[in-house]
Amino acid sequence: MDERHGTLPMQEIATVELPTRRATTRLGRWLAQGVIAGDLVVLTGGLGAGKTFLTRSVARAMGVGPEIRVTSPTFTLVHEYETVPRLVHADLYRVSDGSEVDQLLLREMRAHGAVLFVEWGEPYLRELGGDALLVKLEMSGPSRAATLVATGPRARQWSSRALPNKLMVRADDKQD
Amino acid sequence: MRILGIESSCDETAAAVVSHDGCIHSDVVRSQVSLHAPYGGVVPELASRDHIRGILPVVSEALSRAHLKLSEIDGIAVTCRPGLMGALLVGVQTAKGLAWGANKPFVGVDHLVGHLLASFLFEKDHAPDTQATFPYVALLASGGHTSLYRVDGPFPEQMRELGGTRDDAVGEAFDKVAKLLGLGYPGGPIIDQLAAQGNPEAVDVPRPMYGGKSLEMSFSGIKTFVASHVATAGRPANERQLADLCASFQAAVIKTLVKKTLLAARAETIDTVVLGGGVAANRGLRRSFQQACEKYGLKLVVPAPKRCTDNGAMIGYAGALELARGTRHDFDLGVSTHTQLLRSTRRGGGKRPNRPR
Repeated sequence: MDERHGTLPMQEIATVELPTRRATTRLGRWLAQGVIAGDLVVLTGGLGAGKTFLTRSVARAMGVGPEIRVTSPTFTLVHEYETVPRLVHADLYRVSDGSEVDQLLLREMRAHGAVLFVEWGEPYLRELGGDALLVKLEMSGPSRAATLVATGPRARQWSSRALPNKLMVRADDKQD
Repeated sequence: MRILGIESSCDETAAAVVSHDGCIHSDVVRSQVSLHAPYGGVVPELASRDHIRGILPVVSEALSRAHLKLSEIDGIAVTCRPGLMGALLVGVQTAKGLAWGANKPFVGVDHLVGHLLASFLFEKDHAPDTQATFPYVALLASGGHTSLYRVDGPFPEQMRELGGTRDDAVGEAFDKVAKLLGLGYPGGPIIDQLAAQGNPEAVDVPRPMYGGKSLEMSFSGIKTFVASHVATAGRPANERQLADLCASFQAAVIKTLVKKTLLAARAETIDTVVLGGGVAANRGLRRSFQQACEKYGLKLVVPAPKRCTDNGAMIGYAGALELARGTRHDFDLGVSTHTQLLRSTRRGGGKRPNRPR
């Protein structure tokens, strides 16, 4: 079993300010452009912090068309999208122990080349196969920020990519 | 014709015996049998997704409550989509095994088709009070689903989705708002109860995607509004404020659902509205729908709460109709995480069903 998680210290990569929806979309596009088969991205942050929204922008940037809804998997647990590599959006909000995570076959999907975006997944890094890029979303008033943390060797490679530099605020940031 | 229906698409392991006229001979949902009895069958714990352990006892229980042996059944129906891959496989493989062993025809059923037909089910010896007639507009609102459908008949090719939520399902919004307010789980009934005592106009809750003629909906922003409301104004200090916030939240959600459903009925020129899904048990929602349907001369059909949530009876019924028209599936039937129901928008986007044969 892959035990890389825990043998390397967590490495903080960066903190990105996300004052607008567009800024979050930009971060999503950046993630979408950088993912490779087998990647694990774990999203943390309270209710309403923007985890599903960020994953939706990743899905859109990976080519999931507007006719396909990217909805919250809180109750349905796992959503899959026909992208290359395959995108799997999971939500462990309702899960209470690791054996339930095992039943969702997420680690197996990852081993078969899927990219996993997991909400509320931080307590289950081991069950998910470790080596995750943690995206910690924080909400302060209307604004948000994302802190990127690597927990393994693959995730550390994200630090070598230039962060999206156009995170400017547009006053009339419209809903899509 | 008596059909064994098996359901294992998400949390509940369920089996039932139903006739093709909708009469339920037995209906067993695992979160309600002895294992979960201490919780009163209210909390469908995730652990019940441990379908492998539950499925055979549930099937035997359904058969014995119907006073039938497997050999006396006329066919087997099973949910084969949409749902969790692993969970669906347990039900489908079980159905195949039973069908092969007992030499019975079997058929895979779309979970959503089952929900959309739930209003036709009735208990043995209890004739149905109000039954829907085709065509109707159906609102399915649960923790995992919130969509509007046009239903022209009992088969999948006669159903299509007209619109739905872009982000969170309604039940999910209720549960998460209850969590934000420090209330218990499940959030729906608690908020419903508090809302009955509050002033729905106390807090100005936004209603995303409310305006216009689109049948698309959004509930994530309402949840985020409550989160930031709690962050800035603090949790409601007293019962009065809590009830007001719950009432305002619930009113915003219900107004959106009622408006979109009536809009769909008008756009499709259909005069029957059917509710389904766990959220249809919400009393505030039922009342608002009753008032609105009365006002606009629409017929409203709301199935009993236990027919609204996941159960085997609806799968058995949908399967019975399929078997009756000759549908048979082979042992190579697979499972899918996506529904087979098509979706088309009012602007003409999306796929259209094939014209009737």
